[in-house]
Amino acid sequence: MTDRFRLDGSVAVVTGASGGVGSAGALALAEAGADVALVGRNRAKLDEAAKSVEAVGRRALIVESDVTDEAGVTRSAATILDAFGKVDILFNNAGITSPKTLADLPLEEWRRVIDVNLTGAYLCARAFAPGMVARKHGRIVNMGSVLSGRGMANRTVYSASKAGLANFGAALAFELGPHGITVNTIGATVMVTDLNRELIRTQPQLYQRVLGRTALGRLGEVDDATGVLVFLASDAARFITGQTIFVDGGYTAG
Amino acid sequence: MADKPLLQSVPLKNLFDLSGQVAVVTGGSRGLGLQIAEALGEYGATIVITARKADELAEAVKYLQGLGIKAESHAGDMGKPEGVAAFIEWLGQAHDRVDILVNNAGTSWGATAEDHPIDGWNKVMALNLTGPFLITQAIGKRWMIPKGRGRVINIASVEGLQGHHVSMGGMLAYSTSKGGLVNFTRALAAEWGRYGITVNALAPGYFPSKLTEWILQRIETYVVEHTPLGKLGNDNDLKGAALLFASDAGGHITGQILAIDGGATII
Repeated sequence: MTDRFRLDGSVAVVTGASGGVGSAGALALAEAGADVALVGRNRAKLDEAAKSVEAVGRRALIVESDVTDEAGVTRSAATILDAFGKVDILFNNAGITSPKTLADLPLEEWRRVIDVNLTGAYLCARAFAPGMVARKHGRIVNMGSVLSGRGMANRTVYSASKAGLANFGAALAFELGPHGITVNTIGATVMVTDLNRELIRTQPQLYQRVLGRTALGRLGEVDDATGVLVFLASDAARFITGQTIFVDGGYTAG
Repeated sequence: MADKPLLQSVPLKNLFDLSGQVAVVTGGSRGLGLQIAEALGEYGATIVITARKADELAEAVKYLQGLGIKAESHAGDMGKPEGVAAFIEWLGQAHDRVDILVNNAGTSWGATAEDHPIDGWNKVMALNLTGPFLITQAIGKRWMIPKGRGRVINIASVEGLQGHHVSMGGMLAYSTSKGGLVNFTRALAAEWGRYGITVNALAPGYFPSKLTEWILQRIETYVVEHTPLGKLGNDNDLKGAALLFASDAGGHITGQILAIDGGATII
């Protein structure tokens, strides 16, 4: 049974790999046996993530690229396919937020969030799906949010993008299902990463609302999501598709 | 060539009209049930309310009649099969017709899951789930199916759509029963659509009532703060949705669950 969770011989692409969730996801996929292409914009962080992948004996490939750049994604895909020969797993993880009221949200910021969170996932899926279709096997996992299923004040564009991402996944699941490809979304709660750790420590009241509605009474750690990621990427999840699996300590159950 | 009208249109006020129809509202002597009874009565339906206590029923009937509504009552326990059977027998004598059934009678039991007594669990299931099953089955079979038309409205709860944090008190049986009523609504809608019967549910959030008095003393501030509209429900908030589901205006809506909760479940 345990072997069905192994990813030996697989190749995974992780976008947003310089971030906390992305680098933890890359390491988890590597620990399960996959070689990993790390797509991101912060070279120093990508180097760190690559070292952790290599430290568990897997191959790592750094690809400095912005997922919103169509030509860049096309080039990145070619680079990755050249190096690894195939891609089995795409983790659409790159994402940004914008904690502004509707009145204060400028159009360019709205467009930037939609660009990274939605258009980026579309471009990457479009780049890697043909290879998956040709080999009749593939796993696409999108990084959604509890706001894929709920709303929150001052998060309009983020909520819209993440709900869009989840339903993009559901629609794509139908389109790619006949080709043996599954598409699922992880609905994560607030994850503690380098980006927000200091804010959580100094201004805990900002997170009280989320905590007060979380059955398990804490925010997420990046490793809370990596188990689901490996599961969805593995043969163990081969009949699960089009789903949003909430990894939120019970937030959306309340 | 004769001009063909652009739409085969019925005026909206006729679509909402319930004149000549009989509506049954269980648990209709107070609170949400009485509010719904008033709404359906105001739009022309003859109202039959049930509850266990005859004195509360008499007071409610007097209140409805004071508004010019044709209202009657039957005292009985809809959580017991014999109570349901007696009510159906009485209905056959009194009207021999039911167009609208509102399954509103319900109860709760406050206990944490680990200490929940089975008696409390059974009592909640009997009134909140088994009662609606028995009444709907009887009324549907005897009056709605033969007529090829009917409206069933189940009063679920936002507690049937989600759980809640333990700080808000234990109501496991209530939440379970209301979740059951939600899917009872969908399953029955699927089954009885072919008879022209619609089955829908309202999922109220927190309304001040005898049932919610205990819990609201503890959590009202929290609920209000976590409701986009910033208030509890009031004595008018269910009327419009109930009328929509009860009338021809909602004729192509079935199997739906409508939360009436000031937006609390969407955040």
